[in-house]
Amino acid sequence: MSAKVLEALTSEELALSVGFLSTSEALRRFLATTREVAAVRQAFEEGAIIEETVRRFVSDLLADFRRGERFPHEVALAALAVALQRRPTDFSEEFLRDLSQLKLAEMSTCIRVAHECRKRRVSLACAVSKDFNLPTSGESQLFHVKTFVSPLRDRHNDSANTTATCEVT
Amino acid sequence: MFEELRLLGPTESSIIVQTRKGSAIRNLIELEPGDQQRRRYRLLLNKFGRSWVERKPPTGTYNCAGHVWASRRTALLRPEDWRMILDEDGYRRLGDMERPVAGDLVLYVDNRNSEMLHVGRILRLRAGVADGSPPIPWVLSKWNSTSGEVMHRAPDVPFSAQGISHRIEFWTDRPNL
Repeated sequence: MSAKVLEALTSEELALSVGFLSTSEALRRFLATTREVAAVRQAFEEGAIIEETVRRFVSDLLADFRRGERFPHEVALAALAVALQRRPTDFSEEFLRDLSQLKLAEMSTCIRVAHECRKRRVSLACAVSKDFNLPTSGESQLFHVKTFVSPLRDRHNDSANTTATCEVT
Repeated sequence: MFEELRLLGPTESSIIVQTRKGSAIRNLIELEPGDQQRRRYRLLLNKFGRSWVERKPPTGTYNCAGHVWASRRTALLRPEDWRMILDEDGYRRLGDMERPVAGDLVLYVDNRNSEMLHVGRILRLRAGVADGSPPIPWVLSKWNSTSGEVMHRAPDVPFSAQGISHRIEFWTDRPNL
């Protein structure tokens, strides 16, 4: 199963479904809604995919890299980046960081999508602090509320229901 | 994981592009499409572009924004830069009562996040289907960095078919009357 869900990322159907979308954020959002990406996310969550499987998959794709020619598996790598965006692992961070830091004209699209995924990953993993004056027992008391927003707990929804935890002091 | 590719060194190339105010615009001279990209373009043309008229077959180098703002010399890939160009080059959005004319721009904006999806240049206005109906703007578009250039009616774009809610905005560099 694990190899199959990854192989589905290389399908012509997925590549064509992207259509003429070209901006990195539009691509990221669109890919996040595809069943191929959902299947990879689910396989990760169920432990059906291990890091070594992904490394081998990526290595096989990169065997088709030719300098001066457009990389034929851009959509697959971009989709994998989207699937990994919310995974709280060093491996996901390594994948997104290494891909987004490349400077290759041959695969400019998946590099930009990985960059967008990484930006979202960082921007969501933030802490927001705010002070509130609330009445307690007839007096006003200052509460400092620090909210930790985690992008990693929101497994199924790309844009909403992000989980937050609060620390009140 | 991408160590071997990193060791190749950068293969990107760009040119100097600036707004009228002198702000630098990041850009990338895109590679020419290969057989795979040309084949996919033809399939997408058959799917979405039944009413489109092709001006130019698939080509690399530039994208939609590079076509409109960089004279087909390079691709301008970041929508945030497109906004900066509109601002710093003195464009204004047409009011509801204003009609676009040839040379104006049409922007396709994602309703979910107000990010621009695509930009094209108005070619002409053609008579509407029925008597008294408003004229329809025709647009010259290059869809992405490996597509060809096509002429199409302004509303005739593939985004809705892909489930993307979007709006159309017309912008011009003509003065406000």
